[in-house]
Amino acid sequence: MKRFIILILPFVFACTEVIELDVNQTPDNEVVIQGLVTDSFANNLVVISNSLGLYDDPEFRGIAGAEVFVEEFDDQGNLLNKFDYVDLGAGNDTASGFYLSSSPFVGVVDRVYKLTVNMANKSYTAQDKLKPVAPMDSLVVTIDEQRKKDLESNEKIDSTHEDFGRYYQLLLYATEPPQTIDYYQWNFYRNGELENNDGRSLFYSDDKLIQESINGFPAPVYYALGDTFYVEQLSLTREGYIFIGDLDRAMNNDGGMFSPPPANPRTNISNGGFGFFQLSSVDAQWGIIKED
Amino acid sequence: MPKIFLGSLLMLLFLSQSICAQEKHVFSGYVRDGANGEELIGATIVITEINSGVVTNPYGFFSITLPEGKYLVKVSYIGFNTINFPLDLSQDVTKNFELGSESIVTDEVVITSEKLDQNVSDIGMSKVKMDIEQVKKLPALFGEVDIIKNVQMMPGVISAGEGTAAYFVRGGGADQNLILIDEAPVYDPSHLFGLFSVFNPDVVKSSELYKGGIPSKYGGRLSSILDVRSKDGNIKKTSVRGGIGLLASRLMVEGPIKEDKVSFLLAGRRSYVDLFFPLIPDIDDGNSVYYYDFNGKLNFKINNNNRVFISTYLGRDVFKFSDEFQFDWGNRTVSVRWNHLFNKKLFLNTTVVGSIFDYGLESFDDIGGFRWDSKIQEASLKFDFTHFLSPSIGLEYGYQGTYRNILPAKLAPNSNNSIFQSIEQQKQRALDHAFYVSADHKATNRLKMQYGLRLSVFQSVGEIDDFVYQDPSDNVSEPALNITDTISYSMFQPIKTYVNLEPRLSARYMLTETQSVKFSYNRMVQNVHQVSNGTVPLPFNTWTISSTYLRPQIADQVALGYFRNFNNNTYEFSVEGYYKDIRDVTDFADNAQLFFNEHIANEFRQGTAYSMGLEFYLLKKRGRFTGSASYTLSKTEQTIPEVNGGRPYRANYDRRHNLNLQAVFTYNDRWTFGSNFTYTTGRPLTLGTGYYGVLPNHIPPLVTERNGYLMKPYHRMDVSATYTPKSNERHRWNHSLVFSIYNIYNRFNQFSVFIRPVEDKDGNVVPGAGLEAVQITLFGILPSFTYNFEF
Repeated sequence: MKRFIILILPFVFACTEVIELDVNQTPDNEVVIQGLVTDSFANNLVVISNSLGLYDDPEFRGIAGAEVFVEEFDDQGNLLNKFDYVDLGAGNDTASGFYLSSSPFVGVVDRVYKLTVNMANKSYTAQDKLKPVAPMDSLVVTIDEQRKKDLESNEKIDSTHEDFGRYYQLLLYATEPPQTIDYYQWNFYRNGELENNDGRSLFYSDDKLIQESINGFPAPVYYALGDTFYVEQLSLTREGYIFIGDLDRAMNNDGGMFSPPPANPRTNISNGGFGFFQLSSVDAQWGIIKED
Repeated sequence: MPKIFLGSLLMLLFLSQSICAQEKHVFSGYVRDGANGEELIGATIVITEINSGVVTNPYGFFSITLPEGKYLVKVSYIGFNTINFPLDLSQDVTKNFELGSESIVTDEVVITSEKLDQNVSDIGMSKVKMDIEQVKKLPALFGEVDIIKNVQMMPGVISAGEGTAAYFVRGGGADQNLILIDEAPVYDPSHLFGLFSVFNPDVVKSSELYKGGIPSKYGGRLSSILDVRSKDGNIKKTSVRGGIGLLASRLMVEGPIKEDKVSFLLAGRRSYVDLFFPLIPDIDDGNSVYYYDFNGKLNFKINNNNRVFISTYLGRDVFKFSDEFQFDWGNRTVSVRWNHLFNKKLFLNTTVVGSIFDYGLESFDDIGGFRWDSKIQEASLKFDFTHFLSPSIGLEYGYQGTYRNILPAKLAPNSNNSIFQSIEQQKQRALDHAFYVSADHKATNRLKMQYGLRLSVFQSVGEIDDFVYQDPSDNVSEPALNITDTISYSMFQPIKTYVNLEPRLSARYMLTETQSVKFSYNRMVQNVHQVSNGTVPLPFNTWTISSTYLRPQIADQVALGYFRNFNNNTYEFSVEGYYKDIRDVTDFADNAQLFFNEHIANEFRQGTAYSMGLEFYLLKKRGRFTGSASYTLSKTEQTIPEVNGGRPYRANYDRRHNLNLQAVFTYNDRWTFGSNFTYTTGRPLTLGTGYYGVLPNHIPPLVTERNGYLMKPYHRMDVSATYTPKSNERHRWNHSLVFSIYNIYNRFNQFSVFIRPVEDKDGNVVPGAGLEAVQITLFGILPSFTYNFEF
C-alpha cells in the first residue's frame, strides 16, 4: 500500500531518501508497559521498559524493580483475585523488565482485570475486560495460482530462497455473532514464527467490516509444502482495537498524503505511560501443509 | 457595538445626503475593451475639476451624480489608452466608453497623467489583483500558466507545498479561502493533485485576492476571497485561441452570435500525461491519469438596462492505477446572472449559482472491491444592489441565500465477491442567509472610508437523525454508549442556528498625492469546515457544516498599511501589518479517524489561533522591465484543548519568512524573458523524535510535539523565454512559443518527511535496527515548452 501511495502522490516524480533528522529533544525515558492476559492457562507476562531517542542504539531498556500485580473483578466490581508478578531478572545481573505472574492463571470472560505497576516515583494502572471470541469455523488450504506463476517465473527464487514454493494460502471461515459488537485480532505463524512483516503489520478488524461472517478471507501469509501453520483469532475490547489501529497507523505513516499527523496511540495505561494492557480470548488452529 | 456602528453608518448617510442642494444630474455607463467588447472591471472615471471619481463595478458599470456643469472626464484602465471626454452635464448623460489597447509599452513611451495610482488612492488594502497577461510571461510549472500559482507568490500568501493548488493566507488554513468562479464557489481548485488549477488562463478576465479589509458583500470563509471572473466572449468578432503544452492542450473559441448583442465563449482543456507512461519504467499498464475541463459562457446584452450572463465550469480528474485503484474528483458550477439598471443610480445584479464538488475512490480488488463517493452540493440566490448615491457616497447592499447538501460518504461494493455492503452516511443540510450593507464614503479629499455590516444566519437543518453525545469529545468509547439520545429532524427542520454580525471597515487617508495610509478591520465567520488532517493537502476533501457540537469559526483581523508610488506611478510600494485572531478554529484530536466516521463530531477540536505578520510589496507594472518583490514575516500559533497537551503549537501553515521575486523583461517585440524566485521557511511537521517497543516486535515512533519539527527551507528559481514571431497582418494569426525551466538550479526541496523502520534496499524491514527518517522530494529541474496561437 505504501509504495503505491508514494507512487501516486506526485505520480511518477517522487523520490524518497533517508535523511538524518536534526532532533533537539530525544524522549528517552518515557515508561512503556505491555501486558497480555488470555483465557488460556499460563504464566502471564508484563514487560516494562524505557523509550529510546530516535538515534539511540536500538536496544531493550528494561525497567527492573517495579511492584507489579493484576487484580480480577467480577462484573459487579467485586475483587475476586490478586495475582502478583515477579521480576524475572530479580537476583541476577541480567535484569530485565520482564515480569511473570508468580503462578499461572486463566482469564475469565466478562471479568475485568486491573494492572498496577508501582515504581520508585510513579505508579501506573490499566484495566481491560476479557471479551469472548467467536471460534474460527475452518481454515482451507488453497494454491494462489498467480503467486505460483510469479514465483516460478522469477529466476531469483531458487530452492535456497525463503519464498521458494510458498504459494499455499489459508482461507479463513468464521461466523460473527450479529447481536454483539466485537473486535478481532489475528496472528499468523509459520513454523512457529509470527509473521507480521518484521513488526510492521497488524491484522485486526471490527465486525462492521466483517458483516456477520468471514467467508474465505485469504490470510496474508504464504506457506510451502511441509510448513506448519498456526493461526490465532483474538478478541479485543474497543479500547484494545483502538490501540492496535493507532499503533498500525503510527508505524505506517506515509508522510501525510493520506496519513494524519503521527500521534501516540490512545492507551489504557494511566499517568502518561505508553503501551497497552490487553485482555483477549484466543481461538487457535494449526496444521501442516500437505498435498491432498 | 453593532448598534452604535449601524447608527453612525446611517448618520453618515444622512449627512452626505443633506449637503446635496444644487441641481444634479447622473453620468453613467459602461467601460469596455474596444477590441472585444469585454466590460472592464475597476476602470477609473475621474472628474478632473473636482479631482474625484468612481470605478466600474464587476460588470463594468459606473454611475456618478454631479452638479450641472461642464467637466473633463478621464476614463482609464491599466494597459489601455486613456480617454479624455468633455462632459456637458445639463441633463442625465449615459455614455459607454470603449478603450483601446496601449500600443507598445516601453520606457520611451510612458503614458502619463492618467489615474494609475490606485495602489495609493484606492480604499482597498490587503488586496491583490492578478494581471493574467503578466502571469503569462512568467515561467510556469510544465509551462501551464496558472493564476493559483501566481496567487501563491503574493505577499501574505504561502503555497501549501510543491505542486499543490492549496494556499494559506495570513495564518489561515487552506479551507479558509473562498474561491469563486463567476460567483460560484469552487470547493477544490486543483487538477492533477494540484499541479495545475481549475482556471484556464485563456478564460480568466480578472482575478482578485482579498486577504483583509474584505467588503461585506463577501463572506463565509475566514481568511481570503479569490474572486475570479471569466470573459464574456468577444461580442465584435470571432476569435480562437489555444495552446499545446507538454502535459495538456487547450482551445478557446469566442465570438458574437449576434453582433453587439449576444456573444459566446467555449473553452476546453485536456491533459495527456498518461501518454508518457509507456516511456517510464516501473509503471504498469492500465495506469491512466488525466484531467479535462470545460468553460462555457453566454452573454446577452438585451438593452442598456438589462444583461444576462450564463456561465458554467465542468472539470474532472481521473487517476487510475493498473486496474487496482482509482481516484476521481471534479467541480461543476453554473451561474446565471442578470444585470438590471433600475435607473441611472441603482444597479442590481441577480445571480443564481449552483456548485457541486464530488470525489470518488474505487478499488477494483475482487474481495476488497468498493466504490466510495462523497459530494457537496450548493445552490444560492443572490441579490446585489449597487447604489450610486452621490459622488461621495456609494452603497452596496444585498442578500444571499444558500442551501447546502453534503453527502459525507457512500460506500458500495463494486463486485459480487466484495466483502463490503452498501452503506451511506446521513446527508447534512444547511440553510445560510446573509444580509449585507456597505457604504463607500469619501469624507474629504484625503479621507475615504468603506464601512459595512454583514449579518449571517446559519442553520443546520434536517432531514437527519442527530446524535446527542454524553461527551462530545470522547473518541474512544463505544459510540453506542456515548450517545444518550437520537433526535429525528424532518426535512428543513432547524437543528442549530448561529447568528453572527460581521462588521467591516476600511479607511484610506492620503498623506500626499503619492502616499497614503490605510486601515481595515473585518470579522469573518465560517460555517463549512474541511474534514482533513493530512500533513499534505489532498485534492479531494470532505466538508462538514456547523452543528450542535461544531461551532462556527470566527476571525477578527486588523490591518494597517502604508502605500506609496514612485516615479510617476511606475513603482508601487506598500507595507502592511496585520493581526488576526481566530475563535473556534478547528483541528483534530490525535489519532482522529476521519474516514467514514459518522461520529466525526467526536474528532473535532476547537480552540484559538492568532496570526500576525508584516508584508512588504514592491511592484513595477510599466516599462520594458516589470516585476514584483514581496517579503512576508509572519507567525501563526494555535492553542486547542486536547491537542498537543493543550500547549500552544505552530500551525501547519506557519512560515516565518517568505520571499518572492518575479521579473519580466521585454527585450524587443519578439522576445520576452521571465523569472521567479521563491524562498519560504520550512513547513512545521509532526514527527516522532523517539521510539519504543511494543510486543511482539513493533516499534512505533514516539511523538512529543505537534508540528514540532521544521522541514528544510523551500527555495526555487524558474526562468522562461517567450518568442513571438511578427504577426501576419493579413492572416490575423498570432502565435508564440514559451520555453520555461522550472527549478533551474535543480534543488530537491522536501515535500514531506516521515519516519519508518529501517529498511534495506529491497524495502524489507531490518529487524532490531530502529527507525529512520525519510524525505520525499518531487521535482528537480524541469524544462518545458508551450506553443500558443490566436486568430
